[in-house]
Amino acid sequence: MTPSHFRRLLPITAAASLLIGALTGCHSTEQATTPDPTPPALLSASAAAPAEPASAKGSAQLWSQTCGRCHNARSPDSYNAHDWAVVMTHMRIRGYLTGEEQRAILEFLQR
Amino acid sequence: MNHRPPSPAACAALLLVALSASAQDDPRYVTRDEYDKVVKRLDTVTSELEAVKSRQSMPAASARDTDAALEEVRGTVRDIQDQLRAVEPGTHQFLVTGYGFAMFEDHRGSPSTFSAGVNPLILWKLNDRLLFETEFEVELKSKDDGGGTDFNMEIANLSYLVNDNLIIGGGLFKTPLGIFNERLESKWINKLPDRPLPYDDEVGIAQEASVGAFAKGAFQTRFGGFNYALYVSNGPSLNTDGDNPGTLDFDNNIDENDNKAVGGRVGWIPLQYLELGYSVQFAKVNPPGFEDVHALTQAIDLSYVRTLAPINGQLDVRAEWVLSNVDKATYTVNNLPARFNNDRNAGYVQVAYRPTLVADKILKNLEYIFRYDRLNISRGAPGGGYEQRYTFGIDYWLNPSTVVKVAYEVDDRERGQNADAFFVQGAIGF
Repeated sequence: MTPSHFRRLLPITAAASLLIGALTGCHSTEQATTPDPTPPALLSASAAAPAEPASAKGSAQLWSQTCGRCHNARSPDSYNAHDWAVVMTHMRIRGYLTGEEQRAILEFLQR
Repeated sequence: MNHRPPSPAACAALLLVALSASAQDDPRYVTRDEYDKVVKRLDTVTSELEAVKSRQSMPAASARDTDAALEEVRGTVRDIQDQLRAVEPGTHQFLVTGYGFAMFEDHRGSPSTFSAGVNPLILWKLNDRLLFETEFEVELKSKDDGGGTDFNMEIANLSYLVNDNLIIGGGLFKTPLGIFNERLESKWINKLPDRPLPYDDEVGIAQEASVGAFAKGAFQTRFGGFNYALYVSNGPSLNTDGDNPGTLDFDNNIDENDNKAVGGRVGWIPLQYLELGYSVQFAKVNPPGFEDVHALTQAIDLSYVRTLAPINGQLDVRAEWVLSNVDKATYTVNNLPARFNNDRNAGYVQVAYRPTLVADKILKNLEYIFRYDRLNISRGAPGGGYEQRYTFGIDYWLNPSTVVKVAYEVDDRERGQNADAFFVQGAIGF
């Protein structure tokens, strides 16, 4: 990587830092996100707290929030227990889940 | 005095009395009454003993019956388990998922057309740590492209889950440059019928898929969640002549210059509904015999997905911007040498609102989308100038993975004819 490339990196890095600072500095205390459909219980239970480890979240809430980052959360009835195991392995890779999150969501979906 | 001797009968009577008296006094003898009482008592005790024996023998018989019934149940369970094993998948688990779509589009200056396609995604889980995935794109080709059906392999890669925070793999994979290609491009996920300009099939400036090896994962910290991806790949190649000299060819399945591209992305999830990411890719892109040309591509991305009670619904905001810096080089344009600044950038901001918290079943399944996207190309480069679009869309969700989209796109180009467009698209994830 040449010095000119490093110079080109600087503006975008600075812009990203400003954007991150602005967004994290002005977060409100409103109710947090849930994907479609929005289970009211999950909505009320979901506070605007920092991201927590999977063990600290209800697996249903984790399913709702994690899937909802990219798409509507599919119903647990969409696949059988064996197929969910395959789907969740795929989603761990594509959706950047930790192993702990994968297991917690899979447990909820197979219940 | 005259004594007569006693008669024999009198003597016998006296003897009986005497014997009787002596017998009553002897404890070795019992009377008949006593004997009868004893016999009667013995009969009673015998009857009671038989009754006790009978009662004791009855539970023993019931236990035997219970054991037999239990064994029969166990046998039935074993039979059912055997039957279940016969239909259960083995350790290798196989699943076909993916999506399909049908679409109508009408671009100003072009004939309107119907189209359709399907993208089967085949997942093969070999065990708890190994997953192979491949996706094909099957679409109808236009007459200009030869007609028939277009069949492309989108991805084909093997991943190994090393531990909870690390996955390694290789093959053809979605390039983690920004988030659209990896996460949002499926037509049942993309809220609008077409792709935003940075990731457009024709004029996009970010590589959709790469052939190489990768390491990726996620972990939690007290500052929130982080995810990361690092990869080495064949990288893009440079078009040095033809219609678009200076552009990058991302369908470079075979490395031409034996110089690999390296790249990666880091994402930060400080709040459960917010993710911020930065991506970078660096590659030497010139073909053999051409002067050295390097390409640096960077991207920033933002995702904000949150259900807010004050607005009775879900707000979905996505923003990405991609910067592509390609070294200056001398190309042949119209048979003449040409050297120009070859920097490009493109991005989009998309805001979607769906009133998921209202009671009306029709209204809560509607989603309203607005997207602004723009592409800037250095004016000295062939095709230089800008293009910007304003797209307004309404989606109706039949279920979480089935959607009907209607959208109108206002196109504004610095050079060439604007191509406003109208779309209707149905998509289903399966």
